Amino acid sequence: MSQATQVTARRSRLSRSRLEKTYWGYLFIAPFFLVYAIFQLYPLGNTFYLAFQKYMITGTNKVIGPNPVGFNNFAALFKASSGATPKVVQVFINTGIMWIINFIPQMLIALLLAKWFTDTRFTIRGQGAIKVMVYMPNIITAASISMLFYALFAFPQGPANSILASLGVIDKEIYLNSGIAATVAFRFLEDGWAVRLIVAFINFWMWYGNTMIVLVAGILGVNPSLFEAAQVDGASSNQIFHRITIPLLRPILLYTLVTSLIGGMQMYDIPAMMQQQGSKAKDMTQTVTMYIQELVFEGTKDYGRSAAVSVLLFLVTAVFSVILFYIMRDKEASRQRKMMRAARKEAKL
Amino acid sequence: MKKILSLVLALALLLGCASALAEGFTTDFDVPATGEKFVIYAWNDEFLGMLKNYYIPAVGGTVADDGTVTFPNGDVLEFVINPNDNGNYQAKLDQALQNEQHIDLFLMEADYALKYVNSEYTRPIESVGITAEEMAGQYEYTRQVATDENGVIKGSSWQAAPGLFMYRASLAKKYLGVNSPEEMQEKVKDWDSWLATAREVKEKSEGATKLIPSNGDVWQVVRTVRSTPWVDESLTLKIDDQVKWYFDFAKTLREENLTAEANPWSEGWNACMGNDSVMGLFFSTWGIQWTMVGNSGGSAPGEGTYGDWRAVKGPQPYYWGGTWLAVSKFCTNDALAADIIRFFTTEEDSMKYYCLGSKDYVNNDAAVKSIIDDGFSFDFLGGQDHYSLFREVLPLIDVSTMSAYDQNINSAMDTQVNYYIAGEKDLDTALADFAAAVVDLYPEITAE
Repeated sequence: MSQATQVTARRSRLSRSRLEKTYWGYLFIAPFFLVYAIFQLYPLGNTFYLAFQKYMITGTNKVIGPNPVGFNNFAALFKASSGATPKVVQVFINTGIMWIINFIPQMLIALLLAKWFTDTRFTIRGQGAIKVMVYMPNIITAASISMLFYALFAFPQGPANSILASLGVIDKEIYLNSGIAATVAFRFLEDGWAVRLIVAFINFWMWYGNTMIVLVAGILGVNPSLFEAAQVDGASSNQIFHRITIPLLRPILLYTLVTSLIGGMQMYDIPAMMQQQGSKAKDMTQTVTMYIQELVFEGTKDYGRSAAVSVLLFLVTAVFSVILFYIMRDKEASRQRKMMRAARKEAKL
Repeated sequence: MKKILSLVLALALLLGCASALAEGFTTDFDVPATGEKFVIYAWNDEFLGMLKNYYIPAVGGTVADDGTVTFPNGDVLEFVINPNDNGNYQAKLDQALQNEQHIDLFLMEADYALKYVNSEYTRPIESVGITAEEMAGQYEYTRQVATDENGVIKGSSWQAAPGLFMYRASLAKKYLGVNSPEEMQEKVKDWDSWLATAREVKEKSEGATKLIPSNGDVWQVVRTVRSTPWVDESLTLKIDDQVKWYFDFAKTLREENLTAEANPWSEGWNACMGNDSVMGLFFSTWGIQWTMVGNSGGSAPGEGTYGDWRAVKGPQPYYWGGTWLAVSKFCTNDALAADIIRFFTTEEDSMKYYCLGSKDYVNNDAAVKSIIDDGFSFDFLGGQDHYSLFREVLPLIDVSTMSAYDQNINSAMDTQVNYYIAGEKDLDTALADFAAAVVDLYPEITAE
């Protein structure tokens, strides 16, 4: 036996025993992949499959399909009576609007609080208590909070209307007369924009504490010597924040933006709980996931169209995430990379 | 909270009276034990209460302290409740049936009874051994609703649900000078007089009292007197003139502020039966004994609004609701299913006994007639005999406009009515959007 073959034999023996050891490792992580395959991967694949099938159980319990129909489900979704916005577009607009009016103030307030809580020049008293209070709404289930707000904005005699009456915004005399409160009280839950604002506010209120904590962690992760150096150089607190904190926080900001976008696009429980039966606010506050649910559970069970909306939701989320990654990319770093590449090319020439 | 508490107390009192009555009636129980649970699907605990307070005592079963119901042969009842909000009950029931889960009996409402009657998930009532002759005592329309396309009866109802117009006697005297139900009927005999009365009540009370809680209550009447069902044989959506009339009527009510703006089943709507903000209400049999009594804020004359209500026929004969028992395809205990159906829906004696205890209006004319002949009065309605009024309305009930799609289509219409009466859409746009919403819900339906 030559020396070379002896070496390979030893090596293979070694790798076999390594495989035997790692075998147990694979076994230990197998349950996750198994559960993932059954409850995530299969439904995901099946959704894509169903999106191209005509498959429904009609209002009289007759099963149709599944028959492959190509892009018919998508075509049906985008078909609308002349002039009207197709419902599927409307629900995406609704979701987007409610996400944006919740996200912008959420980010601003969270940044401001994070700046205050991490500022080295002055310390806020009772930081721990304030952080707990800010985070608290996130602990309560969204459904309970929605029920609370639903009651707050009840018509005609909810607390919101009572406050408006005592402030004199609506006529107090008429309002207090129970039978005619309906004349002056405001129908919050039947007004599209009112419900949008309420939903956005609940989302903002529930999540700004969470975002703040992520941002605080991000700021604390920045090398303190950078702040010190800036201070020594005489930079103001604002300058430090804009020139050092924000640029170095970029990856964390991107992370919050993308997770919030994904969560926001899947918004369901809060707007769903705010729906009053027969309310005309529904057209302006129905979200994508609510529409998916409606297609399967109300009226005809249309699995095909419902899956098609799910696929659209997936695509839209993916596209927006990519756009965010592109906008938030480190421009300085990519410019440097480009310059390096150009320099290398020149050197070769 | 107080209201909920008082409602619970009122119901508890009612049920307490009922169970005291229960000792008076017994019937044979001749069903072999199967060792399996007997499964019933429903959307609230009304039928569970009926079983506990009437059927079980009569056949000699037991109700344990934790609520477990055991039949005399040792079989146990499993009563599954899925609340009905946004079609949730139908969704859960459909899921269970499609998965071939074991369900023996399930309950269905008028709004969607046809959906199940015309499906393979219900068995003919005859298949558990109940003959057409046994069901002959039931009101014609209740059998019509449960009859499928081939003329087979696949559901049986314990109640008939003709509707009346209820009003508060004291408020009517105060604002309208009305002293008797006959005078009141004259004031609401058709929709024009009804509207004039609504205006009068608002004016005389300076807006403190309205004739009706909401326009949705008017719809409960109008929906049953349309000329065509929502969907015809060729699956085309039909919007008839009564629907358009209702859109305009609702708009008048809103513009002139003639209702208390408390939508059916909302908290405010429940509350207005116990205070003076509303003077009248459209309701049917079960609604009086179940909902109105529970919300009146009392359980004896003089307490709350109890005893101050009176009933008249109102502008149009109509029906509202009604519950049918259906035997599921996956029923494994035919004998027990048949026994329960017989007890509540075909046997005169047991139905009369249930009727007297609950003040529900049972689906057996002979039982009702003998109760009236014995001298019937209901203290909630100031000692009035409203069963006689129900018996006058019953033959006029027309269920030909009922369809399997009613619940979801009605709720789609509600949304557009709200747009129209708020002045945000004109009638044509509202109706076109309504049609679009229906087609979105039911792709198999085409709009006109």
